Amino acid sequence: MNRNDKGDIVLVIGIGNPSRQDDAVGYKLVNWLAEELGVEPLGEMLEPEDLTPPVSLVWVQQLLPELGEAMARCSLVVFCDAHTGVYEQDYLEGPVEPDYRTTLVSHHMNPETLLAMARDLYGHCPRGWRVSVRGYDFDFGDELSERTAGLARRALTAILGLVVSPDRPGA
Amino acid sequence: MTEKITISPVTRVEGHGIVNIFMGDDGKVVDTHFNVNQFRGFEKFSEGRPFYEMPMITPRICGICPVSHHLASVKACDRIAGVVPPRPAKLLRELMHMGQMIQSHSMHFFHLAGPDLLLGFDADPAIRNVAGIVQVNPELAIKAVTLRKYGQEIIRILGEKRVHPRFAVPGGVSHALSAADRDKILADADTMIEYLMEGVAIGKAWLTENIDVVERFGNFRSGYMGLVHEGNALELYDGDCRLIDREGAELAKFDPTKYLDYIGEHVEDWSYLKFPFYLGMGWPEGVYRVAPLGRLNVVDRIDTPLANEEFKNFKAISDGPVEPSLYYHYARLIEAVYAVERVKQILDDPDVLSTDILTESKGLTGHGVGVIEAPRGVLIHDYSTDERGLLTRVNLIVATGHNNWAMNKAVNLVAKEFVDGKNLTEGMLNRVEAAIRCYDPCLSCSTHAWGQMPLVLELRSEDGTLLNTISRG
Repeated sequence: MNRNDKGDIVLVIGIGNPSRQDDAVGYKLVNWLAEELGVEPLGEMLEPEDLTPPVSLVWVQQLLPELGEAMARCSLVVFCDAHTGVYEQDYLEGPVEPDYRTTLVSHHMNPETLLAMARDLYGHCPRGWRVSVRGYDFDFGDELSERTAGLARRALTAILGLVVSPDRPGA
Repeated sequence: MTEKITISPVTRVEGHGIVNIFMGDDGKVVDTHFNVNQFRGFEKFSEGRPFYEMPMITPRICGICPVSHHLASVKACDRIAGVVPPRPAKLLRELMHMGQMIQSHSMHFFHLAGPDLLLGFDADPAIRNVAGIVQVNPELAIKAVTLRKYGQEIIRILGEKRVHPRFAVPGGVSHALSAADRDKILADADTMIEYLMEGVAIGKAWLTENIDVVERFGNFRSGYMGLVHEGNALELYDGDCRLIDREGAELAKFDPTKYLDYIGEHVEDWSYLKFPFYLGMGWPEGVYRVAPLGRLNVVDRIDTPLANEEFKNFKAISDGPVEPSLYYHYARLIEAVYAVERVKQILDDPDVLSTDILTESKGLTGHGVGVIEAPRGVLIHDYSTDERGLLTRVNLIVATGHNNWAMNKAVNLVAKEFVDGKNLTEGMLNRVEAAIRCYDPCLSCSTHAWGQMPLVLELRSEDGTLLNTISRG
């Protein structure tokens, strides 16, 4: 397990627009985790000094390069998001490796690129883990569709397992 | 026989764009079109909404410069509400605006334009991007991220969110600035100036070393337009609107809320983006450019010391207006330096901590125009309401729109100079995109990528037969 001199910090990043129904999965997960863990979720901005062991929670509308500095202080970063057609599975979780990946636009970053930037700019690459569920409805609204809500509950259980025991087999 | 090359997408979010290049039999470029084919509809679906919702609705036009729309909109709302915000509120709005300028201009130079300049137009697309800069010069990449973060943090401190903030309201702002937050912003200002001056040095060095390219790359004559304050000094938040001709002589200086008396819009059937022009000279003679190059061409000075010194160097480039498109990058950096220096000026003003931040309305006027200099040029929001304050008419002239003719012109000249239809290369595509990128339109996040941007160039005959294909990604 990767460690840094700040200790063992797990960072959970929920990604998505909370006003676009199933795109709010990341936002919902961060807030559910906060209730379960008794941790106050961080706002949209994440300063490295805001990180608190053993787990920190943050929501962002989209991944940004500024996250790299804080990520470099963590041992594990869990990325939570909704997906559409990019993956075949309805539910997906697995490791994320640092790698500069293609995107069409500069304001759309992916976890692989962010991990690579944490490594190359800030000297440490945390372990990365992706938890992604299928979204079915992205219209305006703040409730998850029934199918996505079910998948999100499964994601919550998985992430809780990760943050409680980051070294569990398969993590 | 005319053949057509289509570059699609040049852009994706904030406006899909396509470049069509028409070739003759000899493989030389005959004509080009830069089409913007995305329809947003904000002007229409806002009708019937209460006017005071617009400062929250219109930032959704754009995820790149929402603050500009937020502030232009609230200035229009001020006039509908018949109020003048207190001076502290104006200072705070301008402070947020400077945060937007810092993050937008920094982002553009270091992340969007920088890879072309620092890695080369013909560099492998796989590395000709921000990832390439990270690997070639990680210290510079860190400074770029830090600059962007600094600007975003100003916006977040004032507006609670970095994107689509909540801050300005008709008559003022929603909350005052604390001394702690003022000190927090001030603490890093000098370091940000240092980073930007490093960027200025990089930009100037490249322009000097590549002067032959600079003079051949999208170099054309036009008028220029921008906001100024007293003595024709650079002004990004308020002020009068000044138009100059291609020789640098003043054509008009006017209250920007009277824009309809001075600016017309030409329409072409192949683009949803209109072509603004100066009414006094008609279309197309009255075309003009806005945004950093436009602004620095219309002003006579900048009222912050370091930016003004660099402005003098800029002016020394030419006896008249500075014209080659690649100088947009230099002008943009000078403005970024000004923005941080202006942040310091604002924060040193004793009124900035005042709690006198709102003027209440006594009745509605039925009409309001709000104008601001967005990073990409003059932004105009024009609203009319009924007696209840419900919108009956909305007209938006988005900053990028003013530069529509100029972007088409730049694409045309660059394509003619650098594109050879008989020997198509990816570097030629990139130069055409780079021409658009000079103008930092709201399309520009799509003309550059973190990694290799998937792109297909198809060369077809007039009957649609595919003759050649170049693709990447």
